[in-house]
Amino acid sequence: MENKIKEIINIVLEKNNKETVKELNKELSLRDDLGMDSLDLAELTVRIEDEFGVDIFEDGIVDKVGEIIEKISKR
Amino acid sequence: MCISANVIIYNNISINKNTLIGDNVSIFSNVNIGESVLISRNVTINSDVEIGDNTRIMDNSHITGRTKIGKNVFISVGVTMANDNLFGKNGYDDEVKGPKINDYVSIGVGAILLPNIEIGEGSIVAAGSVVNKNVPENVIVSGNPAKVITRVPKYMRRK
Repeated sequence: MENKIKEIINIVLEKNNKETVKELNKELSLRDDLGMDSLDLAELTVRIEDEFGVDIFEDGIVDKVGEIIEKISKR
Repeated sequence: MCISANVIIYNNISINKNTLIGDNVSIFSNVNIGESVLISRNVTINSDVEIGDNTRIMDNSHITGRTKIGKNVFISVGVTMANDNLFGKNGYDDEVKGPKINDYVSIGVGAILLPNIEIGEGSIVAAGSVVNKNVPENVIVSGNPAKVITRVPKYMRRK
């Protein structure tokens, strides 16, 4: 699952000319560490929902990679 | 209805209840403005325009002639639009048409909408985008020229 999340994050980052991640760290901030803006986050949540059937922003916007993993794990 | 200071209103205008027109707004002829609409400061609206209920048009935006704006639309600050690809060569003929903006569309700061395009219901135009062709429903478009980035995720939907 974590490899797939990393793949999705990197697709979004690469598409928008941002540096991709080699290792997925649960403490990474989507905004501060990965440089995602509001458009990137919108695309990320749609791609994750398509893959895992989970709306990660259903209860508010999350920022840490670990929060995404936790939400998907709970499905 | 509240009309603020220095507003200029030409002929054949209808403004419905609970609508607020901000300072320095200029509204040209044949314009229908629905209920509970906000037209914020310095907005200019050219002729033959329809604006649906609950729509908000923020400061310094320009609504070109023959534009149709639906209900619950949000137009951010500094949005501009055009209605004539021939720069007035043939006058105000039938080919001159502004955008059609459907219900629940959101348009980001400084976006530019080119003539005769339609933006589908619920879609979002990102800040600074240049929209030169039709936009489907419930998608986010961005860039110059604007391209579809993704569908609108649930947390961003206003409907």
